[in-house]
Amino acid sequence: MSNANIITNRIRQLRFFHHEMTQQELAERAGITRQTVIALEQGKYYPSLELAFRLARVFGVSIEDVFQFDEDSQ
Amino acid sequence: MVLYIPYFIDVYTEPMTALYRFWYVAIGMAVILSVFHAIDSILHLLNRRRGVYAVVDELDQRIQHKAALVSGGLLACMVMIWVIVMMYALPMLGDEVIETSSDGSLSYIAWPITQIMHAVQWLFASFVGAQVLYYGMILGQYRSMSRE
Repeated sequence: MSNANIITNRIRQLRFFHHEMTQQELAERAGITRQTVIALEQGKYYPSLELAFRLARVFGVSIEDVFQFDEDSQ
Repeated sequence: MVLYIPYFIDVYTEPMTALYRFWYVAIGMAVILSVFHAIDSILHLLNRRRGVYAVVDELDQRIQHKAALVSGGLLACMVMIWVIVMMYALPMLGDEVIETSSDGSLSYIAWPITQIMHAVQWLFASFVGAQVLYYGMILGQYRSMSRE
């Protein structure tokens, strides 16, 4: 994929800072499967804007605190 | 795959001896698919009654969509090849398959049965190939996602 690692995320860290929230718990709260959480954390899947907002809302932060766009690696 | 690879090898080497098997394999495939989807629907229904809902999220949808797109593309290509071959086969085979009446008009087409069987098997193989690719791609994508 040409845009690999351009968009990174801090889902793993945010889960840790939210009382070590499990992947399953995050999945249930965001309305997705645990498989998708795993794929997101590994950077194998870029979510839709809707899902990105839902994940940010689960952690109570802004979308840019969850996902970062690294322009330099383009 | 275990069932269909030996079948298609047989069919394309000995089309006439494998003729009767076509119906068994075609009906067998319809039965396998029907039973698979029936069991799947019953299990979904039972789970819903127990209040368990299988979450199908956007990743699942994307995986299924990609698999459907690729397998649909393969099926379309195979059918297109079949149509093109059919279009050009008659003029290329010429007198061997087209027989004319005494007044010179086209009376009927004498198509060899082996070639008809090959044509039918090609379409059947396209369908089987598309199905295998569809489920194979879904499986492969989930496996690659779960790999570290």
